[in-house]
Amino acid sequence: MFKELDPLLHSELRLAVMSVLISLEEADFVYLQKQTGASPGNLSIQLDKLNAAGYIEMEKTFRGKKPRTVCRITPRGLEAFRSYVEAIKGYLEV
Amino acid sequence: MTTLVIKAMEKVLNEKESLELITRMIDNTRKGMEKNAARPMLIFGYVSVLTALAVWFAIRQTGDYMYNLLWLSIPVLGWIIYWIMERGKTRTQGASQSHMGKIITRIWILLAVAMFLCAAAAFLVHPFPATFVITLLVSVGVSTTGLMVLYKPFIVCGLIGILLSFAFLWVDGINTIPLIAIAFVIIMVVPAHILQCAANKKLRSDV
Repeated sequence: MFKELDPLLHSELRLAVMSVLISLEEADFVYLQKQTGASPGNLSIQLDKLNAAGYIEMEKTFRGKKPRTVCRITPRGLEAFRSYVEAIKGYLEV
Repeated sequence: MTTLVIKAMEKVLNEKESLELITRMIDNTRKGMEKNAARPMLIFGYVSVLTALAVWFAIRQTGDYMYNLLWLSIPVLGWIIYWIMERGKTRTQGASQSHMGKIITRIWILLAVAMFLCAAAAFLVHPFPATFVITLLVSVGVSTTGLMVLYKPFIVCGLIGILLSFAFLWVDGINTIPLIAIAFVIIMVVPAHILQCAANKKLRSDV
């Protein structure tokens, strides 16, 4: 029996964001945008979804006069990502 | 293979693509970290070497040992150059911090405080083997960094530095200063350039 894939992670941009954050303590919006190649609007929407699900936490700060959003993966997000990778491996029989 | 459609406008992934995406993103993030990892070591390495040569030249020309105060410019100059370079990078590339990077930064801050106290003690306590202690601390820092990220050139150059630092217990006077410059080249500049070259080579091979 295959495990059901987490629909929140089974999307290109959200999965890309989680894959970047899994290797890091934290990353800001510009860094995530550069790494994923996403448009600011789309990235913002997907980050909000991950934040609402409790997979990431977002901290809005200022660098000088410019607003800055810093993202971190949460323990819940870490667990969801781990389960997702296990499920994918099950499908592919890796 | 199952394929889920999450929502219109969002790219649909199959399982193979998902795994490839995860691998690619983690790999890109790691390569980005490797590319930037050498920068602080290169900056502080070159600033230390140039300061050593400046102190040596100034004392040789004037005979005034107060020029030893120039050593205190290393952390100030190093941080200013690093801050300027990082600020430019952050504007265009964004900022990130790895778990390992955070721990390594904390270790180097601790070592920098210890080095500063040693430098201060050298002005107050005579004789004080400041060159020995500072070179030893920097070497331990480089080796520790190498052991944490499992990078051999850092471990080897750090260990060479630890051995070299004991030579400063026997060398005295103005001739110590060019030896400090050489030691910093071996301990910091050489391994940082090796890391930089390796990271650039890896990035080029991916293009």
